[in-house]
Amino acid sequence: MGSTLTRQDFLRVSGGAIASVYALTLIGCGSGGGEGGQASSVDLFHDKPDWNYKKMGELSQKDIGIRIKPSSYSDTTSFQQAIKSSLRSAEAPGLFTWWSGYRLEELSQQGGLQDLTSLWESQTDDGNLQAGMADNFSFEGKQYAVPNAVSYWPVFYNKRVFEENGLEPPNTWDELISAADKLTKSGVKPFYATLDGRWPAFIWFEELLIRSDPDFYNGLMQGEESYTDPVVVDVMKEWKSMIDAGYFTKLDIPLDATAIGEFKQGNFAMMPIGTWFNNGMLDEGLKPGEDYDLFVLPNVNPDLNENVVVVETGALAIPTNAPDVEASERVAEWWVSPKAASTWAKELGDIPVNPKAEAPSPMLNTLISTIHDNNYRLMQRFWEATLPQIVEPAVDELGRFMLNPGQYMEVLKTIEDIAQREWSNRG
Amino acid sequence: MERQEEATDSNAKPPQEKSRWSLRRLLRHSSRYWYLLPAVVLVGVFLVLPFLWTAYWSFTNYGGLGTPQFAGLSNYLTLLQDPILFTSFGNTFLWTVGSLLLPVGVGLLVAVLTFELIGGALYRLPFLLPYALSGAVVGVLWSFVLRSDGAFNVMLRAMGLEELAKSWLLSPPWNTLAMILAHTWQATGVSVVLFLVGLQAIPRDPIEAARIDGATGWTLFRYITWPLLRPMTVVVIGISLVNSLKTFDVIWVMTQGGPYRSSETLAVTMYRETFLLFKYGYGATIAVVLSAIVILLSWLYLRRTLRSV
Repeated sequence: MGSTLTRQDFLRVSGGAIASVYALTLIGCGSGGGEGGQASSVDLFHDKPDWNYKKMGELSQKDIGIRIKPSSYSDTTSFQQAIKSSLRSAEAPGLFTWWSGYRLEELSQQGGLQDLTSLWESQTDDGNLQAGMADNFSFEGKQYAVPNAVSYWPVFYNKRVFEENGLEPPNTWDELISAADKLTKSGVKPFYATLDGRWPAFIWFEELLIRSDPDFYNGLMQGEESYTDPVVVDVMKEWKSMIDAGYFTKLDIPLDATAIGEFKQGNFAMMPIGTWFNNGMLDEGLKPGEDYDLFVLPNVNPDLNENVVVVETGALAIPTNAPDVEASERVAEWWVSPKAASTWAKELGDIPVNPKAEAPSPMLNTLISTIHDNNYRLMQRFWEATLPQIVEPAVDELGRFMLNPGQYMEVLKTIEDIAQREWSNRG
Repeated sequence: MERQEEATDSNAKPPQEKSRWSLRRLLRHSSRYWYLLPAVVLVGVFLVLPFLWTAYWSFTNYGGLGTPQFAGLSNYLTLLQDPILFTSFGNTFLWTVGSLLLPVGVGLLVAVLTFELIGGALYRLPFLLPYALSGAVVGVLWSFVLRSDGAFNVMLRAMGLEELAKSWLLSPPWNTLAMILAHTWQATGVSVVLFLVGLQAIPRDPIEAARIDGATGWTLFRYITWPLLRPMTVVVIGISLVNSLKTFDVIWVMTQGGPYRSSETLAVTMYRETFLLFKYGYGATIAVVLSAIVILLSWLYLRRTLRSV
């Protein structure tokens, strides 16, 4: 038993020490930092893996010498996490997509978004952006994003089923209801409704409410009206009468190829949904204009003298911490130009963000003309139009209503309680 | 002898001798800690630290952006008054009981019945295969089966049980029960495997002796096999208990906790408050409460059973 350190001791210790230091270094140098944005490319973060931002990147490279480099997150929740945490850090992307309305406001409130008011002014003057849409991206009078995508919400209807039942797209609510009765008698469900994904519960609520009193709807979204107001109660009663008459499909048909399959087979005739759904229709081999077409729902309230349609906008925003803000702004400006907007609309199969640009199909162009020529008032979609803290519980409660229509008063009271609490929390 | 001389020496040699002796001892025994260090650091950084961070958030009103504002115990008080707590706890309890009875019970049954059966492996296969799937896939599959026009209702109608057919995932409490069934379909596999291992570890002698004494079937199982299976049973029940309290992916894929929050468990409520409503502080509170429940139940269970093993 000597008193000196043996070679074995030394080896044992140093072996362990080296192994652990090595292991820890490997852990430590996992994620290397990326390079900052160069003036010749900007990163674009989004959560729609099947949207072809790459193609737009190639186009922007050609047009303005700046390439858009997309990074997609397949899961919306982790995308939101990533954006929120990166917004104030050095990891912020050059551009990212987001929701418009109150969901955008939260980010701009924290001061993480670049002010794009002057961009809006110049582009509106050039006719590349519609002034009516600026509110969707505004906070305290300034705009903080440009439109990434625009969708209108018409009704997709099965032409064959309509023809077989001698029906035309309805011009009044009474015509719609009698069409629904006729279809029910033929064994076809008139309308599609679903609770798949939780969020679709607001669709019929907003469609019926904006067609009863659009000013009230806007006030309700801003917290100036009550969910228990007679206007809303009447909407729920109308909706209940439609449910009781059996006008809606079962509520668990998923909003994807499954629903399109049912539509194709003629199991239901009409479906209010955003024009972004058109791509799915095309993918399933349905021919626009032949197999299906679009119309906008008539007003529920016969005394309402204006036409309304729901518009859904997505936002394209620039973090204040973007690697190269100037490059990002040039890309945003290019994004709303006629050629880029046309190309993007063609990729999405949807409405172009630029009102001067052509939509990719005659059917969509007809819709756009209808909306413009008849001065349709653009109503912001429920999901973006009011506080997210109200929207989430509201869709749960509206889902409760859709399954238990008799509970409409309790549902409205619950939503109103939540709304009052959230608006007062805002201060 | 050497040491005594050195001890009487007045200069620094004895202390050096002492410290070198203890240093060597330290180094000789510390090498094991060096090898453990990376694992401990990993667990500490990726498990313990985040949990402590979450616990910190539970005392704040953090909303995901900006800096957390201290809020004391207000989140905990809100939780106690939250009407969803009753539903959430109730469903979590259903999940726990269901996961303990079904996957464990059926797993035990399958393992025991196919243990020394010819072709037993073939009978076990349908129970083992689903375990290879992820919870999300299980959720998607069973959502498809449980739809209004899905395979399950088609089967009921074919059996003449039309009136039992319903939109299973839209009708509480059937939605929770149906999801427990989907989970069972997947989770039984691991119980089967573990119980099989347990059965194989049982020494043959007590069983032979019991057989000689005339014990068969249920008697043999109850008095010999079951007690000898105890160590493995502890493990299986412990795992099932913890997993059932944590279940999230199957529920999120199938119902998102709906309709109207009727199928939410504590894990789902925690996710919803944090990631849908951006109330990180409140979500953290639920996370802490859930963790406390898991730790408490596990400790109570293990303490009770390990004492008697």
